[in-house]
Amino acid sequence: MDASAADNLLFSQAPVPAQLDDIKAQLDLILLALEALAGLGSEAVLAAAQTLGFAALMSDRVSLWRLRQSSPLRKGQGRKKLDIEEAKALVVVICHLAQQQRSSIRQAIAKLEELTAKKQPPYQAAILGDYLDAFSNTYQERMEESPAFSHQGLEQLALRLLIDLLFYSAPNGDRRLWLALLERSRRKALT
Amino acid sequence: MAPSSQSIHRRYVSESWVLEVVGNTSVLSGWSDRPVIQKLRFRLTRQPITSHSRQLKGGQPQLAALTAAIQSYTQSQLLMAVTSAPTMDTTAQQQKPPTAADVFLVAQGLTQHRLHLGHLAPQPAEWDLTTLELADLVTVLENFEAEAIALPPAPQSRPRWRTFTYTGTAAASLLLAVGVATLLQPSPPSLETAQTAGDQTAEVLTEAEAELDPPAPSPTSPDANQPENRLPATTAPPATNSNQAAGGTPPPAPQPAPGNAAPSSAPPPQTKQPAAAPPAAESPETSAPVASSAPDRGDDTPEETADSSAIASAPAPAEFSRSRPSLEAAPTQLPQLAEIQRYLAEAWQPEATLETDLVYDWVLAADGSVAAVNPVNESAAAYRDRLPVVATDDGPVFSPPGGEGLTVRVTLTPTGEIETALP
Repeated sequence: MDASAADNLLFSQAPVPAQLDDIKAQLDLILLALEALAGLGSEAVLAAAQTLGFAALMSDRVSLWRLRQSSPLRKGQGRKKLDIEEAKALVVVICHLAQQQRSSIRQAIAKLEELTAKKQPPYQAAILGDYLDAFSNTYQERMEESPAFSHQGLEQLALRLLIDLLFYSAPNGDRRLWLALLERSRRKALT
Repeated sequence: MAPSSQSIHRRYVSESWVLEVVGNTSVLSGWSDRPVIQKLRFRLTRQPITSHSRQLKGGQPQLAALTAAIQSYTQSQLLMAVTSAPTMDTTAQQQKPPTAADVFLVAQGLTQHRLHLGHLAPQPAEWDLTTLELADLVTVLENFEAEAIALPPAPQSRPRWRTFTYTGTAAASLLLAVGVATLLQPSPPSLETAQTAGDQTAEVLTEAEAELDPPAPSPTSPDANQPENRLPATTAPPATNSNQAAGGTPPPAPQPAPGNAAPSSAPPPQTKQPAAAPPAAESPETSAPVASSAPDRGDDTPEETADSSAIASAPAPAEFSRSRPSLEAAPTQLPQLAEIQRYLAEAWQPEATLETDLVYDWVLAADGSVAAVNPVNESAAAYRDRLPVVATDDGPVFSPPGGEGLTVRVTLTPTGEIETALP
């Protein structure tokens, strides 16, 4: 089976609830990375949802908050269940926002490449330092504490998500993100 | 009548790469939402273009292998996003992926990626890519995928160039055309898997080694299709193929009636062939897929039989004798006349401003390469630089005339007709 056929097969399979949990968590993290890099708030997400025709799913700040609160990594319980249509809508919205922020994403990654080549820490570049601080602070504010996420771990997670955003900001980004979500959650569900 | 095969030239530009693709549209394009390209050649150049810019050139199998490797690796990288304990480190990760393919990438830390070119290069070669370069490479490759379907070439005994020896008999051509017509009559076939790919080796070059400047953006170039404008406004990404939704300005695919698409109904070969193709002169090395290493003109070489449209439209040698009085004396002894004509029919198109005939003497060396192209009239001299031929090692090669070579008089008319004759 070639990659394309495998992709189509993947698309044809609806994620099971266990997969959706992982998808929720990842979508929330990716949005968090976008927020941290570009200073995006709920209004930007809602505006994108409106533009893309998802107003019914994300009509106001409360509904958006409830969507994001569905991440199992979030603090608090009794969260809303994320259904498949909402997940798809979030994918499209995220990639739309990533495209809008493509210039900032590229700029940040260019700095990251430059500093990595010099074996210097990313904090030396303002755009990366600000991003890492914002990501780390927001993460700790919103997510359940986990010993697995040390300061260094959060930094690595933030940089990894930054790189992923670059690929999601490409023309085929929504398909790529959806595939990644499905495949990753499928693998996780199998373990 | 079967739709004529048109030359196609696409150029995809990202911040880091330029991907140029040339080929001919297949009659199968009529059954596809995208042009189906046969005899594809590509050139991938890393930007900024300098004397040391890296280049990769090849055909459809190489492009497909590269695309598959890049896409597979990229997707695997995206699966690394962590929602549990992050284990990613920035040290080099040297493990080769668990695949038999010899074209693959290996992460070199967080922001570096090593592309192993495998059979894409004549010698073991690796390219180190930054993350930005990798993302840009994905973009240009997927932009091409979104706009066109590349047909794999038929198996060839000669690895690099398809020969241009018109040695088959008219009867053989007709039989093949009928056979292809039979294949084309039913509903659209599965285009992507129609044939097995030939095994060729792409060329890895630096810009200094490449003799051509990158062609200027063509009017149909998708350069303007920046990623920012290409998000499909879909409500459900899984149901949407962004590739197909991607923009661009693909040429309108011919829409023949199925019954008319059969090559067997192609018009009889003519001496004057209108060049319906857009100019491919900007990439002569890709628009010069001709070579002949042996003057085996009496053989019906199997590799020629694979290209249905070429065969269907290829004039039978005997019929060239009707093209011009000067050919009547020795029609079948000079296949070069037909070969040059065929080559120009694919590679040349008159400019709108052309008002007079262009007459050249093409001087073929003994080995069939083009030793010189000499203008005969004034307008030909003025137009010389725009002619899709270069007298270099990478130019077209025709059947070796042997001896002291051969001079062929070539006349190009403003209406796109092409005449070849002995001067």
